[in-house]
This record gives sequence, C-alpha cells and structure tokens, in this order.
Amino acid sequence: MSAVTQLAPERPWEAPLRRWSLWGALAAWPVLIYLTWFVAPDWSYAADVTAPLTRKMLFFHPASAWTTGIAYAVVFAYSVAVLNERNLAYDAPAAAAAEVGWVFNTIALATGTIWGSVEWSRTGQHPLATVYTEPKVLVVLVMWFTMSAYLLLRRSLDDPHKRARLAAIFGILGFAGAPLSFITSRVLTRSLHPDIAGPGANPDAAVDGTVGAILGFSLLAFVLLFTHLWLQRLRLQRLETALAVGCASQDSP
Amino acid sequence: MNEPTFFAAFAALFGILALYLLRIDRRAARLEQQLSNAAATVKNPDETESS
Repeated sequence: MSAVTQLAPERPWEAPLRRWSLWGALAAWPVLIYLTWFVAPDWSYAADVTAPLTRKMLFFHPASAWTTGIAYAVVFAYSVAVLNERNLAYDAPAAAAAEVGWVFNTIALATGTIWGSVEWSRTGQHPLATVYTEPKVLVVLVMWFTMSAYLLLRRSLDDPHKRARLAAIFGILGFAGAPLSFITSRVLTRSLHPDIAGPGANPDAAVDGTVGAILGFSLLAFVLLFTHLWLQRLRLQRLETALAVGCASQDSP
Repeated sequence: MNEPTFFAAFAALFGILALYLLRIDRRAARLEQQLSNAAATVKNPDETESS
C-alpha cells in the first residue's frame, strides 16, 4: 500500500447527519445562551456562591467535559476496531474524533481551571495549586496529555500501519481517563469537585428542575456541535486523501 | 459586574471554539484551492507542464 492512509468511502448517513447536526447546533447555541442569561437563576442572591456570574459556566463546563468523554469513547471504539480487525479504514474516524475531542477537553480544562480557582480554596494554598492537586482535574489533565501525544504521534509517523496501531494504543489509553475521572471524585472523600449527576452525586450540588433542564439542553447543544465537527473533519480528511492519491498516481510513471 | 473570572471563562470557551473553527475553515479553503489546481492540471496538462 502507498504512504497514503486508506479511507473508507463516505457512508450514506454521514452527509445528512453532518448537515442536520450543523443546523441543530446553529439553532441550539443561541437558545442555550438565552437560557443561560435570562432563564437560569440569578445566583448573586445565593449566600454560599462566591462568583455568581462565573457559576453560569455550569451550562458550558460540564457539557464540554461530557462531550469530551463521548468523543474519546468514539476514539476508543474505532481504535479497538483498528487493532482487532487490522483495518486502516477505522483509523481516520478515530483521528477526527480525537482532534475534536481534544478541543472539548481543552475547553473543559480551561473553564474548569478558571471556575475552580475562584470557587475552591484551601488555607495557605494558591488557587491554581488547589485546582491542580484535585484528583479529578489531574485525571483529566493526564487524559489531555495522552490525547496530545496521540495527535503529535500521528504527525511524526509516515508509515500508515505503524501510525494507526500506535495511535490506537494511545486512543485506548486516553479514553481510560473518562471513566476514571467519573469515579475519582465519588470515591475520594477529600475531593472538592462536585458531582452534579449520576450515582453518588453530592446532595448539596444537585440541580433543580430548571437548572437540570438547561444542563440537559447544553449537553444536546455540545453533542450536536461535536457531531458536526467530527464529520466535517472526517470529510476534510477524505478530501486530503483523495488529493494525495491523485498526486501519487500522477507522479507514478 | 466585578468578576474577571466570568469574562476569562467565557473568553476561553468561545476563543478556543473560534480558533478551531478558523483552523478547519482554512484547511477547507486550502483543499479547495488544491482541488481546483488539480482539476486545471487534468483539464490542460500540457499548459501546466510548460509553465
């Protein structure tokens, strides 16, 4: 096989899903911003809230973290398929999901760092030190570094088979951080990170009806955006491959 | 509204998203250019070779 990555042809569901997810995201994001500012509660009157405006991040930070988990689950599934079936056609969807997932991971880390540095405090400790000694944040940071290594690795290897295999291993390792980050704050009692949903959620951090509904809607808006970006990135990869194949066939005697 | 973390958090969110969208858009534009160049080469190979 040439040095060009083998890529499966576009599946029939990809183009409509790419289009509809774009329209969905374009409709959902303005609604999410409206709900955040005009429908969500005003926390400036809450006695236990240090930064009421920054708390609006509740409708963006958890959704970006959950979408990261979904994206890395896609990477995991396609990476297992690459290793199991030794089929390079599964490599491109994994790479596209890893890149978009990494963007959402960066958003989750950046927004969480800013929010945590103003909401959490430990006596005699710098706010950033408080955030980055938090087990859940550390797990997510390790996940971010693993996926950064995944993306850098892909750029540095030319052999498509070797690149797919090694990337798949990093993809599987990177995804391991998603369930681990879910568990850490539930198992470790000294954790400052609140768990707002799922089994073992903190009763004082539980979300009420309106906030819960907006939170669910924010997840929908993020997933729609992820779906579109993932499929769009995959389409670009197909175009790049088609061009590379065209150039290779023109160069060959 | 004396809460710099509020602005920082939203700047991080929309800044990172905007940077990524810009990157994808530039890549698509570059690919389109390469495709149109390739199409021109296929259409008129002699002219492209002589130039």
